[in-house]
Amino acid sequence: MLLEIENLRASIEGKEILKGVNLSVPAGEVHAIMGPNGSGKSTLSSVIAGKDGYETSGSIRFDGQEISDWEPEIRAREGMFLAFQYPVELPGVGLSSFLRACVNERRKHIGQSELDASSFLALMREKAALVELSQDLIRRPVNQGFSGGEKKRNEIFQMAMLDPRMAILDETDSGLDIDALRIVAEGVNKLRNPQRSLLVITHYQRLLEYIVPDRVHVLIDGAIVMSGDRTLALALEEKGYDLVRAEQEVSS
Amino acid sequence: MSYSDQAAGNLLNHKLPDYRDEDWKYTHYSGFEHYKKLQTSGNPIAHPPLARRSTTPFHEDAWIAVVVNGILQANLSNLPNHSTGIRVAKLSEAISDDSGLEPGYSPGALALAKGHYYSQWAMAQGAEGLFIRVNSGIVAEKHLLIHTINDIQQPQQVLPTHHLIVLESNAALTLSETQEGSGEGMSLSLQEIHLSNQARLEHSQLQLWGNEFECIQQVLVAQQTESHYAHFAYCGGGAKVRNQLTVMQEGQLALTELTGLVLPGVGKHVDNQTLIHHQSPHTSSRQRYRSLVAREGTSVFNGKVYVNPGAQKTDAYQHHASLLMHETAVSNAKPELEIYADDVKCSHGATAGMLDAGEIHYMRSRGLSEVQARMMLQEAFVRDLLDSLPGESLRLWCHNHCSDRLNVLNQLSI
Repeated sequence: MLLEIENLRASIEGKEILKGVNLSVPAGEVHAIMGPNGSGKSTLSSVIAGKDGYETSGSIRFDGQEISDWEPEIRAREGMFLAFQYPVELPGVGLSSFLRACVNERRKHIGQSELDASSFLALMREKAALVELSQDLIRRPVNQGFSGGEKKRNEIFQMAMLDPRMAILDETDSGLDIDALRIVAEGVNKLRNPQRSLLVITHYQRLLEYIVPDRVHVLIDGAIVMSGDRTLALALEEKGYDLVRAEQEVSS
Repeated sequence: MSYSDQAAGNLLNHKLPDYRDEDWKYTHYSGFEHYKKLQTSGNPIAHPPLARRSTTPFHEDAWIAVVVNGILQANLSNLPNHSTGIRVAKLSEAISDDSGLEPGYSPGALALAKGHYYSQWAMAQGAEGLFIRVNSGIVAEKHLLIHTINDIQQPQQVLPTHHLIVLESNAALTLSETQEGSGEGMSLSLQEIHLSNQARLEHSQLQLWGNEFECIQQVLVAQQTESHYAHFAYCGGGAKVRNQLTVMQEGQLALTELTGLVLPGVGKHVDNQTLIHHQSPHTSSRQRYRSLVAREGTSVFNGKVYVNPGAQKTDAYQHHASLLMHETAVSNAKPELEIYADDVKCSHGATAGMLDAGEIHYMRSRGLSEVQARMMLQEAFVRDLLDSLPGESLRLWCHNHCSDRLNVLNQLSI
């Protein structure tokens, strides 16, 4: 199991957001998490990535190692990647120098040699093409002056550069028009492989038409209340969370 | 009466500045009376033979003047010869020999009228220093580097220096200074700079004082028609540092560009005061200062722009930005504009803030440590300023020194 979460609880400023999440994602699989607003989807992704400010209990194991106490940068260097719902602008920090530092930190951490300038540039060109990110954007400061869609594509570009083992996409589809959604999803699909797992957090089933999940989980009020195959996402879209939940309760 | 006698007379009418003086409210040296007693009670400044010579930060082929406790060390220096049209000599030599000084350029010509208490005091002591003159029409073919070392023999010793720099009409010079001193001493530095018509001086001062060392410096500049003065201050050390830069734009179309990068250490204090006095029409000034303040450190910036009634078409710009590296860091910024002409453009701005926690988290979630993330954002904050420095080697040296210093200050400020 690449990612194994057991009884994960998280609260912020005394308010409990996650109330015992259990989730297992095997290597190579794509799992989707759906849920209504305020159900704790973004908190779950933040806590897995190691964001400060939450009080947590329970267990998060990544490839067998307990990572709850790890700093976010160590999780990243080990191969955990979070594509932000709202990518952050870094004023004056050039995208390529930023990424070069990040990529080399990850490489050092896993015992690979650092990339020199020319092989790094070649890698950037190759990966930028995956999400059709223009060379002009690569020369700019990180996310500064990027449109909403460009920011989201930039997240997937960074994911491709960092070559993670586990990627969490936090509402990567929000704010994207239809064409941009297709480009981003195609980019993500090219990054699927038998070693890499994806956790796709979304409101809508549309993204899941492009990135087809192996499992769909429904997060409501801080806990996963249902899991199923991709047809669960279709049922949710058709009937809404409440109805699907009610049907489940009846049938069980 | 000599200029030092006049300065001694001026001192009688000055009192030691303290917190009640507007210009000194953030930075005052209450212990200076004690320092002074050491000086005047039979402990004259000793000038030791120079035992060490730090390497210069510049790889380029430059003229070098090594100055130890105010005294030019000719044997350790590489000075321009007479045929270059540039003279670098001891101030006392220039005063005593005849080839010396036109009346307008004599020592004290600026400082007797405009010098603050400590500058008067330095002159009253007859402080030694350099005389630098670039003859009319000469464009210096190499940089001139002044390597200043303050070597104290006893705690609380004050080491005064007094440089006089004259660029005659159409002369041009790039002048860089490294200023070093360690232990519980104080450098008291006075510089008088005259730029004649169309003269051009690019002047960089790199302050690399030790953690216990103090400094009071005043640079006074008089600019004639179409002259250009560019000053870069790198404040990379010291316990308590007070830099005063006073520029009189006497001639039309004079241009002044002041740039400062201020990095006070943990618990240390750096104060930069500027005064640009627009006395003639069509003069311009541009000031850009950035401070990065470590834990319990303080940065002070007081920028005064004074526009005379007749100085129409003045164009003055001033901006100070500070980045506080810790909650306990302090930045005091105060623009002062006094404008008596009605057809001028004067603007100023100041910002202060801390790094954004969301930005740091984003960078960490991509694999950078907190220090790496902070440094990358801090370097971005000063990059455009460093990139505007003249000369590749100066730029590179400053980039590196700044990175190393930020690295240390971040470790101590997180």
